[in-house]
Amino acid sequence: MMSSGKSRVKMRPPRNRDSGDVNFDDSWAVLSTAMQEMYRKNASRLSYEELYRTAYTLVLKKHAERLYNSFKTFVAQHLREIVSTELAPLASNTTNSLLTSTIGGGGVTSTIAVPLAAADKREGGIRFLKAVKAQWDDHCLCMRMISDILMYMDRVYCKELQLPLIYDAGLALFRDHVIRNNEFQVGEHIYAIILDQIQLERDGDIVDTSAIKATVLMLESLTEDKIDGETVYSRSFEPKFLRSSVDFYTAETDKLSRECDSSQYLIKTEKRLQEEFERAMSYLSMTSEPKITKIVEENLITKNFVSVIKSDASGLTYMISNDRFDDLKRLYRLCKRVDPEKTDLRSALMARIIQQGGEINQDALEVLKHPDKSKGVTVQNAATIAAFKWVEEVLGLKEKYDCILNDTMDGDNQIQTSLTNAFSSFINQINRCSEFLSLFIDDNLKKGLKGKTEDEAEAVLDRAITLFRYITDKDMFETYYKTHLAKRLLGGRSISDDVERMMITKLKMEVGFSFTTKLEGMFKDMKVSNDIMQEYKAHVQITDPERTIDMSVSVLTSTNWPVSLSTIESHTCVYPPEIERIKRSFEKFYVDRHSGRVLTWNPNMGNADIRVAFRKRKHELNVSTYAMVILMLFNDLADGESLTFEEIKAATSIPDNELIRNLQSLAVVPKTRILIKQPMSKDINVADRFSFNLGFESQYIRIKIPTVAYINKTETETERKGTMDKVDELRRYQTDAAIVRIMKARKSLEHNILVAEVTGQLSSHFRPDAALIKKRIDAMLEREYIERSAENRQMYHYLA
Amino acid sequence: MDEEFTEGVALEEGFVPFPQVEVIIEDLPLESKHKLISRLWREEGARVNTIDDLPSQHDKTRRFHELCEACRAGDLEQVDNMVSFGVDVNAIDEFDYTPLILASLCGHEEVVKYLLEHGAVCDRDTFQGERCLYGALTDNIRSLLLKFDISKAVDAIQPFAAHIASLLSKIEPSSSDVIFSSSAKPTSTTSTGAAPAEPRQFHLHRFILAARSTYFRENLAGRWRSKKLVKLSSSMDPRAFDIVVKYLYSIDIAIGSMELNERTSQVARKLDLPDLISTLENLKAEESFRRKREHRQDDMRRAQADFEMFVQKDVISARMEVRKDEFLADKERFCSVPAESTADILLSVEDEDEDMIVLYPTHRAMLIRSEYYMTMFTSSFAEGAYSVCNFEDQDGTKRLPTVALSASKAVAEIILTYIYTDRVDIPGAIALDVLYCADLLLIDKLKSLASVALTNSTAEDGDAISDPTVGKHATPLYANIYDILRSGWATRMDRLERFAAKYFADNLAHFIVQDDFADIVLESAQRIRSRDETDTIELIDDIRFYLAQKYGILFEDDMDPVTGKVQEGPWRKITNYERQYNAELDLIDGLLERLDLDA
Repeated sequence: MMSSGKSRVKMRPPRNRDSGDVNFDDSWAVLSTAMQEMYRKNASRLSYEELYRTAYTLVLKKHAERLYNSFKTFVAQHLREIVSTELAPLASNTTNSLLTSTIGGGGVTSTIAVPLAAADKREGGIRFLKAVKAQWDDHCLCMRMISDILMYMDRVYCKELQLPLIYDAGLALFRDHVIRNNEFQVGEHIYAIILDQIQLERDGDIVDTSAIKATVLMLESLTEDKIDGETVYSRSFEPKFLRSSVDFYTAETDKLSRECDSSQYLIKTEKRLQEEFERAMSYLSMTSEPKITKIVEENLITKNFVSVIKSDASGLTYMISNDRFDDLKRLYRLCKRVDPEKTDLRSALMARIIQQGGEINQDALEVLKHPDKSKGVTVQNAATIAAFKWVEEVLGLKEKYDCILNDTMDGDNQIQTSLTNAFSSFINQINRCSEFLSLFIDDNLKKGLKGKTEDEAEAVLDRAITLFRYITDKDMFETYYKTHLAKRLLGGRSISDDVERMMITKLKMEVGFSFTTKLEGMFKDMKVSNDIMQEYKAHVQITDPERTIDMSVSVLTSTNWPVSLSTIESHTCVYPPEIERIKRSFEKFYVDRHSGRVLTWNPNMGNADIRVAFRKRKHELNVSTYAMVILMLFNDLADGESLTFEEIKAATSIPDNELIRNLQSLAVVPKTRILIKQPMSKDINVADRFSFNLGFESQYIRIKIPTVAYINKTETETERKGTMDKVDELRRYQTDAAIVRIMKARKSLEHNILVAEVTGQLSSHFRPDAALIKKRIDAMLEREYIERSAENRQMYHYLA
Repeated sequence: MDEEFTEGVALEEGFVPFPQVEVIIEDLPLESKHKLISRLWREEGARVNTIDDLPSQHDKTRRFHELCEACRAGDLEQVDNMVSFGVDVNAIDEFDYTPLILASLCGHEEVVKYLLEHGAVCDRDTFQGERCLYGALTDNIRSLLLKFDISKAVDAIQPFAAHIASLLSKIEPSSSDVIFSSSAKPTSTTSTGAAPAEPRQFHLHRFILAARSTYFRENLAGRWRSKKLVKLSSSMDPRAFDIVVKYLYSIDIAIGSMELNERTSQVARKLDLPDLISTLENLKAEESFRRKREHRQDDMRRAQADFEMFVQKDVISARMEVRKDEFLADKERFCSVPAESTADILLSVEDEDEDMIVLYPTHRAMLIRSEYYMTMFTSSFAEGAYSVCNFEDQDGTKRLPTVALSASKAVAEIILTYIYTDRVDIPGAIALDVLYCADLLLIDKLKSLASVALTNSTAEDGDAISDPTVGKHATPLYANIYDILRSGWATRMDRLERFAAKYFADNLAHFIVQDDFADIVLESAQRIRSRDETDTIELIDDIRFYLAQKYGILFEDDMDPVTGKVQEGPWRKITNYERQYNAELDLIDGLLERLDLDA
């Protein structure tokens, strides 16, 4: 094959190439005629080969620039012709009035502004859109064909000079000479028509979305020169659309807030959002969706939401009180859309909870202040009742809001936090919350849970724990709980050890091991005491088989038990000799076993069974240890003889207050009047005389004589103060310990950081206040655990 | 400073590239050291090659040599040219170097990447592969070599094979002209066989079948001549036929079930396709990836060879030559081919010398490899409506549409050969015409082939003329140097621009006085101006560059930043060559001054 070519080809200038120029006008005539034919849809009669070659030759002969410009002029002129002959007449018949009405109205298309023949005009509008679309389709097709013919120019000329390719240039021409034709603004007509259609649809009519969709697609494929990613749609149409939407939704917000209650308002807002979303997706651009959604949200939600929430007749309060869960769901959904923090909703919820909580607090305090005397409620009982009422109501409220949170707000974390804060805030507002809760538990463990199954008991305890979580001053609770527990244990009043332990386990899970060590220690003490007593009994049988008096002792570790038990050295008492003897015997027995330990007797916590022979019959009396000591004094007296208060006091050394209480219960309470007091009055005076009431009668053989103050349920004011003082003292120690721990670890710290760290360490027990910490820091400085830095007064150093 | 300077002068004036070296082994001349080493390597290689089953061929051709040179120099364009010519990238030179080893040894990352992408193999398990890795100059290259997945390598013949393969599924423009349909269920002899295959229709191309198989060729010309639909016998398993079709369309065949392979072998025997049988045999054997790849390449090469035969026999030799006046008088009469022809379009070229019109029966399915034809046949213009025509006229011919190509007969044949096979030798004498034609048809690869052919003249070729008036040793040319430069500009082939610049630089004294040269410098200046870039003249810059190369001026530090001349100074004595270089720069400056140009 090569040989055949070679023989003929000699070196010569390449043919047809540099010899002679082409006539541009002739070639262009061929091309422009062909383009006209293309617009007439006669392309299939044209020869691609010829047209391509013509264009190719022009480019090769360096006429590319002229060709490019001629093409642009040609297409521009053609498009302008189409606008003036095809589109303008169509538009002037149908849409001009629409255009003026919309433009005149500042972009607000209102249905009223359109004259009578509105329906016709609208159909005309759609016809106009379709006409433009048809021209657009033709144009695209022709541009495709022309760019096929001018492919070589695209490759060589446009690419090198970075001009738009033929096809893109063609689209730009459509944009400039049709959509933005300076004589007849096709674009403005299109925008007005589409906006009018949207308005119609917003008013509930059905519109021809396909025509609009096609037009929008056209606008989206027309890009703007020099601005990346911008199209005619995004530059020209979308701003108009958004502007008219803002107007519409401003009006809509006014209208809805005037006409609807909150529930309706929410429903309509959601409907509008859905509509706009669907509109953007179905026939506008997806890129408009976030923008229009934002407009709806800003107007219908952001601007007006506070009033919707706060509406008295139908707002949040109404919804909560009437369990309008669907409305709450809507409220939450919409709120979340505009504000991921949900500030308004949260603050409204918190305010409502704190208000309701405050009412509960108020009620409880009312009961406390004005006990319902008619039902025989004493002051102490009133406190228990108030505690019960309070706890139950708080828990009820809590359950209600949990339900709302989970059913309507997807268990939203932020809202949960707000709820917790709100609950915590009102619960801690009432300073007796710890006491109330401890009382609630105490009562349940003594009576309430009797006969309940383990599961039921656990449910009750769990509820208590929920409340416990909200309490900030946990050490306060601990103090109360310890006191109540001590009384339950020593008095043997607890219904079940298992339930007690369950409660302690739960506390341990909540706040940790350190919180419950002492509570557990109390249980341990009780157990150990039992063992000791058994041993002791065995010991007594061997050493003193003749003994007639039984004694039971609880040996308690002083640190584990409530402070009131261990620290009062004034629990002095001179025991009757027979009692004193066995007391010594036990002390000896115990110290033999545990050398180095000191036993301190707490007669105020004990009780005694004594048999007393009255005139009629013998009775067994159960009295406190002090009462027993007092009664024993009368053993040595002859009938009818009496002792004065002073004499009793001298003989027994019982502290005044205890003595008074015990004498009251023995001599004043009518049913258990074992002693006769002279004179007969309620109060005990120093000069009073007491004698044995030999004529005492009772239908029971066994009689329990309660000590007056021992029906202790809630504290009296003085006791409360004592408890507070003790708690304060403990807090001081804890604060000191925390300061030392931190300083030891960090060596040097600035004042503010130290305060912050201490607060952090203590907050699981109570809410430390800055003044306390500051005071303790001063104390630590004084005691030379730490010292101030010489250079910086704000700085502390740890002293080893 | 002074010491360095004196040393430098000594080296330059003496022109002794290496100081005299004591040759330790007296008998051996210096060069033979390479041979010694290469022999050692070969022995080593041979030992390893017992695993390395197919040692590559030592390629002694000039083009392979040029490829190796380009790989050493890092000349990506030349590498591309040579690979485009079909030079085997896995061949070895006299020192057992493959182009890939050379490129990685010399640190040309781009070239290494190009070679890998065009089928160069670096297989760790072979001696050559290990050597290539070991010799890689940089870590980047090494990791490139290691991470390159051989299975993704594109073969030199890949574009060709890919096109044939794509025809099987291409919808636009529709070019299938025969349908084979399997009507009945396959004969499933064993119960364990796969589910019976669905009846299928195969939309195929007569010319591909004819090109690839004698069996099809005869039957298509015979009993299936005017049939649009051919029914396969019921004993033919459509799945087996599918494999055959894939083979014919140069698609990689995957391993099917043993049974299917067996049945396909039977079909292949029946259709007389011995190569397919051996391909199937190869599939059965568990082979290394490398072997599989080689088999696949063999298959593709066979397909290529088939098409080479086909284009020669059925296209070029089947051309019809008509006197131009007769043709113009009655086009209809001549635009037809024998009914058994597989062509679906006629390509007409005008042979000006003899006033003849030459018509080539060709296939749209192949012409669309040129984007120009692709657009043409898918457009809404007249040519887009051309469709497959199988109906013969009463006189045993069928009418075909015609498309004209403005080219000479020789050029047209080059173009056709390239389009059908991807491979062509372009005689330098018509390379310029081929270049323009390829540019018109938007076939970039052929353009570079043509420009390589245009600039790779040898003295032996009688068509290349060296002009004694230009200079004693002027490179022989296939065309006027001005035409070459202008064609480079027109078709955007940088290679030609550089070639011309070098030619001018080499013979500057001759050209500097010519008016034509002044014209072309002006033209170059205008090209720049119209592009509105800097005010340098590309041609002048190129010429200066080649002047520097010609006189061995390598260091920019030596040159005056303004004039580009080598400066003489107290510490720098100027050499003879440098003096000549400066003189030629003066010549250029003189010309620019005359032309009132600033560069």
